[in-house]
Amino acid sequence: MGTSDTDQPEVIIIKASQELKRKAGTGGFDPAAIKNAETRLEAASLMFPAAAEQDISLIEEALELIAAKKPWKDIKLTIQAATVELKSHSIMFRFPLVTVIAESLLRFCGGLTEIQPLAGEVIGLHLKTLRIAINQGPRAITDNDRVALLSGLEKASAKVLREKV
Amino acid sequence: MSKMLHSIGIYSMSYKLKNLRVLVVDDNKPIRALLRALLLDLGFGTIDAAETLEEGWGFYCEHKPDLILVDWRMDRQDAIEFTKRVREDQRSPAPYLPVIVMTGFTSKERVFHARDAGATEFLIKPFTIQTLVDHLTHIIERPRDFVIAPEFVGPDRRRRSEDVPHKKRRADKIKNADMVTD
Repeated sequence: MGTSDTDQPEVIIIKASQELKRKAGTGGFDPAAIKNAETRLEAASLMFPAAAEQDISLIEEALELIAAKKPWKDIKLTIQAATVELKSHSIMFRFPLVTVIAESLLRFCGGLTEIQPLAGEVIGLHLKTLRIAINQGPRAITDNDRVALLSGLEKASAKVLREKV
Repeated sequence: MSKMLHSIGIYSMSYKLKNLRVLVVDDNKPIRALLRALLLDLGFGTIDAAETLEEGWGFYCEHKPDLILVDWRMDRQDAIEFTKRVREDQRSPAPYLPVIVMTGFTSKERVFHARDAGATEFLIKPFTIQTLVDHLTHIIERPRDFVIAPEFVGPDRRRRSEDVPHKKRRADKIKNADMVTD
């Protein structure tokens, strides 16, 4: 009737440690401490450019690999990973224009199964626009952004992706 | 409860986090510094901040923190390897400690991947302070049993500990973590 218990692999359950609870005690987090942390996070917007630099550099390096005609699969993952980080940090630090540009770049890269002619230029255009958005600091997206920046990215991306098909 | 007591002038009831040590592993320097400052704001006593997983492993072995936060980038598996190492390496000084994996890229597969590597909690970026606090509170107030099985080592992947009806929980040995680790 099936396998016996002796055939089953050994499983050990370690009962949950109470060490953390013993050290922390009771009462929850101090509301004043939470407020201090929230205040710090709100004021941290100015550090976003420095935080973004690492991921911007990775996208720049990826562009060089595209120019050198390296395989797209790994380049794509690098760009996507860097852009995902940029996007999540831009939301935390309240740079909505950067968020939207990052989303555009993610959509574009997601639509490319191989590197197309002009794809590098479109990625470069996103990169240039990201730098502009970062340098302008945390602010809401304006109608001018939509007209001058975002629609241009959309059109360029769509053109290259259409040609792929 | 804590807010109410604070509002009427009773300040003594909150966690004593000065006793706790946290390890943060994130390769982005400004983010690492920010996380460190936020955790100090929240009341934690000591924060070790590592740039690389190797540096993080060094801090972990030397200082044996109470909690680890590790950043997981989409294009790397090293945060997952680090978590597995904490859980499975014979030299790991505190294999049952809570590990929070932070990431900006979410999918069900990634959540399962982190869970199956032994992560305690999965924190999605961007997060608010309240979300971070909620995860930390959950870890403190609801510690999970730890499972050591041939194919999995980590916190019980089921949030509830009661047995499934009509089935026996397949545990050959049940140990007390505080007796094992202290």
